[in-house]
Amino acid sequence: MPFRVTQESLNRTALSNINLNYKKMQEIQEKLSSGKQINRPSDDPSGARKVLGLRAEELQVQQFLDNTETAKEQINYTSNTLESIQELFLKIKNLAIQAGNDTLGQSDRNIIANELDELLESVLQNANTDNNGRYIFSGTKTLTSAFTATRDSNGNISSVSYNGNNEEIKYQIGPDTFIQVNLPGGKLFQDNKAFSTLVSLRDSLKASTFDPTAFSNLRNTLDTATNALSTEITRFGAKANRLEMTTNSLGNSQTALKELISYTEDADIASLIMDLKHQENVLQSSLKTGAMVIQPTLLDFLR
Amino acid sequence: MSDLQIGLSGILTAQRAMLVASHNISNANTKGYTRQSAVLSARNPMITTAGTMGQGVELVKIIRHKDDYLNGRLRDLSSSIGSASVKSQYLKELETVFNETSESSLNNALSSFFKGINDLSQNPENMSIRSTFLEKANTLTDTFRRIVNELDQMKTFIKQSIDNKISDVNNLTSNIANINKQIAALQTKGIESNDLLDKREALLHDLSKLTNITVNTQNNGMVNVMTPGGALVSGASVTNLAFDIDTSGTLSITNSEKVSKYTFKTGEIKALQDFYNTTIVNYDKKLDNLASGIIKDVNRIHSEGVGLSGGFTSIKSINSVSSATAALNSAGLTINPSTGDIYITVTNTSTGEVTKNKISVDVTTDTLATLAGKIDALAGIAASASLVDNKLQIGAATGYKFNFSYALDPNPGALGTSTASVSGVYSGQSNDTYTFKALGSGTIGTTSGLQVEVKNSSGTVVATLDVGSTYTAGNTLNVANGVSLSLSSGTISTGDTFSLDVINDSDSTNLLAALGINTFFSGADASDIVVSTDVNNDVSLIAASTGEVGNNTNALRLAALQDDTSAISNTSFADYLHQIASSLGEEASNAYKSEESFTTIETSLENRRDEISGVSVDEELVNLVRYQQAYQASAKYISIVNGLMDRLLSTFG
Repeated sequence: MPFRVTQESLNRTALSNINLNYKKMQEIQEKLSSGKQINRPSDDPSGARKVLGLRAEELQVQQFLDNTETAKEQINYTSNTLESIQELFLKIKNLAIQAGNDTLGQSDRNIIANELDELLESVLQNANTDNNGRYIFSGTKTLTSAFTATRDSNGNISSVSYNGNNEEIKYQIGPDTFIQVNLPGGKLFQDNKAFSTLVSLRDSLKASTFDPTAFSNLRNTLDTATNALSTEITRFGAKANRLEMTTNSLGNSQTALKELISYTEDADIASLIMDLKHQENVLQSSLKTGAMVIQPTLLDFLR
Repeated sequence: MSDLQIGLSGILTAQRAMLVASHNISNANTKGYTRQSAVLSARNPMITTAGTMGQGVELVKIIRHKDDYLNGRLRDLSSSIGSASVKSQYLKELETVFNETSESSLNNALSSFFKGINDLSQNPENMSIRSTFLEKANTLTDTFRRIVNELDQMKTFIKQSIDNKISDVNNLTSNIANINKQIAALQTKGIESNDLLDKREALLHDLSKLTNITVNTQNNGMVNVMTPGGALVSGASVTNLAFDIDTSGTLSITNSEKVSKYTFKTGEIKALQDFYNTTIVNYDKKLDNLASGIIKDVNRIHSEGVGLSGGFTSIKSINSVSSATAALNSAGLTINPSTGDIYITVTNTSTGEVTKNKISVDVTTDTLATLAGKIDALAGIAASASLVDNKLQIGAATGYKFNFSYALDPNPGALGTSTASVSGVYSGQSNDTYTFKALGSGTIGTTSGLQVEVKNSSGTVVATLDVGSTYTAGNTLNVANGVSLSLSSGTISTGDTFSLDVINDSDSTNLLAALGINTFFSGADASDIVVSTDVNNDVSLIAASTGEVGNNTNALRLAALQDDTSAISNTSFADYLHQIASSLGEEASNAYKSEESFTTIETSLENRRDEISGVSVDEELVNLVRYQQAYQASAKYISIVNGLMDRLLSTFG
């Protein structure tokens, strides 16, 4: 059989090549206009799986970062409150030292007692601090104010009771990593002992007979309470540091993941433009040869 | 006179040969047309003493230039292309339905569902965050149902398409049978029916696109069209096809009486059938697996949690059992319960007193009725259970509420005059009971060396706590596995004891999830997953905690589902979804590739076929010119013979 070339096969070859070239152009254009190498899983199934996994991971890191920020905000808020309470306790301590001075008379002690009472009110107010409606020292009973004061007929605090519980609130800041963000007031104020000490301090100053020994005992208890506060402040400072470090390392993993995603999924614009130019040339020549091949028949020459 | 005859034969033959050439030219673009050519031969010679004398030319035959092998190959290929193009077209559509790389994907809905839980864990008491989470959960369930719905629509569409293709097959086969008849009729008269053969060839090619066929030519010129399932055309008779869907939803191709089944290997119908019976069902099943996995795990955890109100006064199960007197493991529940314990916590709302009750359930003997009886009979509490339409109804007496939390009993008892309070979340492997026992006598926080020993249910000492002079009454002591204890001031004496149930799973039977008590989702799979009506109506029911409003223990447990790498088929929910997406992508990409390569092969085979059967207009023009010249030469010869005759007649006439 002689090798015969018919018009039909010429047309077919030209057409299928032109179609193929247009298809390639379209693929390149899609990648260029979306900026993505993978526009649907079938473009690169294994790459798509990788990207989906990486994106999920990146999303989770973002979530941990968000959680860390919220935890930081809460811990700083609690830290600040603790510092104000500590300041109040230092003032109380100074007042107590002043009051312990034997040379003071009853009227002086009454003045100090009144001042102490004001400070006690401030401590209570701070202990009932809420952050956006959530009481920070109530354990998990966040919608219940942490402490309630019982007042005598003069409106002075006679005792303080704790309404919260000792439960912790934890946030997740990493895979299997949690951080406690709250501080139950029961523990902080030693089961209300801090308050009862303050009440006793005030009352012993107001008492008609001042008992220096009892007073000095109370001052020691006060020191224990102040120390407990300092310990918590240090712990919260450490927590803030830990969160800062978590933010950094999460930020690093996020950057790395984003780079990896971009590497897998983003189109290489420069090489795509080169491909596009190349494809344009191929298309041009296939169109041109198509035009040359399709037109002439013997009829053109049989005149 | 033979000289004129010779001239005439030359003219007539050239004319006929030109007819063949022009027939070829006019059919140059006819689909399936096979080039014909005239076969010329010298007429039988006259025998003379000088030898044989030529008697001119005759057209003996018009032949078709065809290659049966190539035609057969092209038919096979056409079937393969038919399957591949249907496959790639529908897989492309399926890929769009799943749409995994876009914003509205299931992947995104699932991620944002878990993000909602995460946000809830940070603000469990916030109503607007609860509502946002509910919206996200609704988006997830909507997305599941949207995809299932689209898959159903695709199935309907494919069914219609199969219906159309089958009537195409029936039309084609009856046409082929008709042409068979005509060809056979001509053949008995000894006539070669070239153009009818071409027409039949084109029909066979069209048919092969729909289903793969084998073509057997008979001696009478008819063809039999066979498929692996049976004959479609045999001579002049036709078997019509139809389709049938059985009770399990499987679509099969049958004869028109719907009796015998036809199994095809390739072709559009086979690809559509596979898509209908396998591909869509497969992805539907995977979606159902994912949805039911999510429903089960979320409900299992959710049912053990507590909403903002801290407990229920009345609750009714969502799912009913087949019979209230059937054993629970064979009562038609979608989640299979297992033998174990359910803890029900009853709280006296006025005194705040908490009672933890344990109910042991043997799912092989217990029925819904006996379970209700056990709840009803709980000593010292006012919870009751009754049966309504094969569902379980639990109600609390006035002044009481109940929940199914795994929170520790905060006030489990006392040692001597010192009351114990417990806090923390038990993180141990399985439910246990800790027994606290005073090792000596004395005053808490005063007596030197005073200790309390803690043993688990197997008698192993898990902790020995110093509660003597180094301890301040009211301080929290770490016991073990996240459990903390504090003792109030008081005196204890050797042997004083109390015990505490430490549980991390307050329903090891999974009956709460199975019955739909305090569950988040209702439904069984992707087609009917919804957020349960109760939760939809009241977001405060979302069980983020195990106790107080600010407690986020259960929300953290729900959030941990996201990372659970053994959640479903040994992988996480998200990864399972990624697997679906990438296997779909893989399948689609393979289909595109095979469609492309089959098309390339087809082009080259068609070119091969054209080399043999195609019309080259140039070639035909050359033939025309050639026969035109032959005609002219023969005519010239006749005129010469004529001239000779004239001369002869005028001379002797």
